Amino acid sequence: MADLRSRAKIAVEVTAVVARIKIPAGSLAAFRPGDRMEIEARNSLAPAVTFKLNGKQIASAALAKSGDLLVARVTAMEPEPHRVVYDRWLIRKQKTDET
Amino acid sequence: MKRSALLPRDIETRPYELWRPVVRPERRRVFENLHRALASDWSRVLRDQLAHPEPVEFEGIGFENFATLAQTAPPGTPVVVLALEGTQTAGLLAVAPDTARCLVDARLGIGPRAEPPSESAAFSRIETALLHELVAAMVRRIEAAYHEAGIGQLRLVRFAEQMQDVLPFVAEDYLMVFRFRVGTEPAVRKLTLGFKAEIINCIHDATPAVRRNSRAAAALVAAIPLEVEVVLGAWKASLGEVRTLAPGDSVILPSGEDAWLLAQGVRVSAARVEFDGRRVVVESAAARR
Repeated sequence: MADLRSRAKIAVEVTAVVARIKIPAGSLAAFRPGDRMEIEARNSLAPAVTFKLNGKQIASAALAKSGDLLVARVTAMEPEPHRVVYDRWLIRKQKTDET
Repeated sequence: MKRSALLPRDIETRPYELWRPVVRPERRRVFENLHRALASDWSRVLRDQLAHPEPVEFEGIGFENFATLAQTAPPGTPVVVLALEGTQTAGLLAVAPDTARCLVDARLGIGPRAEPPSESAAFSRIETALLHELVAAMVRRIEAAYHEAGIGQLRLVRFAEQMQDVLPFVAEDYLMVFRFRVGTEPAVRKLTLGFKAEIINCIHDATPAVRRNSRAAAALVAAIPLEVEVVLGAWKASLGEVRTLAPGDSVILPSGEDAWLLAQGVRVSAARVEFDGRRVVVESAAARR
């Protein structure tokens, strides 16, 4: 049986999610290299970061800049809320003409 | 001998001819439906033009060579020669003599005869003209039906007094034959529409239903909403590090150059992420795993 110290060394994958949207499959399929998607939080707040551990939310954080670095400042250790609010999105297609 | 191997005596048998044309079941169905509808159409034509109309029913499709068709047709069977424009496909509409007599009588307002007319009872000029007028009206219905079905533009070439006068055919020509019955008495009044077997290829296969459904399914799939996350990056951490994470801690994040879109847990597109005020700007990059 592994002791607590060895358990603490177990590696997990942490991901930083900066937006969550609901989009029709067709629109996603049409999102081609060079296209841009602009995403805004529905409550008009600044973008936030969600930390996920093996796909499960563990913390929320605010975005900040520190010099050239992008930094997340943890605001709450919390699981995924029961009701997810999706962000608003807009796709701008890449211009194909050079004029 | 096993009982199942015995053929009932009342079934007519014919030697199978290997060169007999083959019509695929779906095309056969198209022809059957087309000529069943044509029979209804002809019934309407007769109802409009005759004092004593009788219904026309489609009996079925068969293949025969012209020689057999000509031999089995009663003497003096009036025939209309038809042609499909732009093709080598000729056709004919044969009206059995008693059927022709019945139609002409009905056109003249003469009721059904107690005895069938003798075969030698030739038509007068007026009767012939009335028969031609009636048959021409029926041919116009074939023209319309064939045109609508995409088979082609049918043309009435000429009237012939008997089957042997039908020039475009030779004895060996295989015909696709559509048989019709006029009236409710079986095997009495007959109409026979025949075309050279090439007409099989004049039916254009409809777009398969499966493909149509696939388009509909594709539209439905395209409308399905997917939950997509914009992932800035991922890194390995120990459970110990994660457990000590607390509000107020700062974590240095990936730059956003190697971000990706995650749809329902599946990485679907590489992306570059920038922050523009309150907006997250995601630029799609070439797919990468």
